[in-house]
Amino acid sequence: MTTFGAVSTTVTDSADNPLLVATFEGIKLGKLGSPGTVHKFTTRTSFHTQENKPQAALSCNTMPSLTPDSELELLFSPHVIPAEVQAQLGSDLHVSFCRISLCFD
Amino acid sequence: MRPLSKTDLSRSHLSVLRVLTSTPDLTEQQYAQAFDTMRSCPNTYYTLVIISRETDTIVGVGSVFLEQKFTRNLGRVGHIEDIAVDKSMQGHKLGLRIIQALTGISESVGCYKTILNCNDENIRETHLFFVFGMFN
Repeated sequence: MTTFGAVSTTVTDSADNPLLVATFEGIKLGKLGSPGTVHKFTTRTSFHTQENKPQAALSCNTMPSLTPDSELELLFSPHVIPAEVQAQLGSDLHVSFCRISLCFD
Repeated sequence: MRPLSKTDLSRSHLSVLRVLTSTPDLTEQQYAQAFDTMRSCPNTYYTLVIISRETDTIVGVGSVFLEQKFTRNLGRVGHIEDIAVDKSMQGHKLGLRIIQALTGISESVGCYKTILNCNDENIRETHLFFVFGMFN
């Protein structure tokens, strides 16, 4: 089973006032070995709009990516963690978050 | 999965532990001090975390600490403690993976046995783990 996180979109005017906020949250279920298979997808969306303007710039900010072990002060050497457990973990953990901001000139 | 880091306070470490039990907030200084205390006892404290690659936050934690004995020819015992998985990630066998990794560490450093300690509320899950390997 794969869990898909959330996408949140905010549209602002030139003064950075929020004109539209849309949040999508969903769960994607897939069989092991075919994680792309979508069995169920649900969305929860909310909008806040005002009178306004055309489109312009698009920027996409993703959540911070994984900090490498080499940049961290660790409690002990990672080499003592059994490799076979690490390998089993890999396909089980998928969490995706993306935040997108649309800016109108 | 990796060892605990000194800066994991900012990666929701305490939030995940709150799934398990009362865990009041700590300042960065208090957290770092506790981390340094553990690290000052070499080959004793092993705390693992599972990190979401995309968000760089902790979704699962667990610890094993090693007890030095006078018996068993100065043997050591591993005590597994504080297994916790974020509610949003339960059901993915992350708790099982953490326990497997901690047991592997305990065995690799020569412990003659490993004990999993848990509270009354988690006895059912612990029993399922040992009988069926179904721990979340």
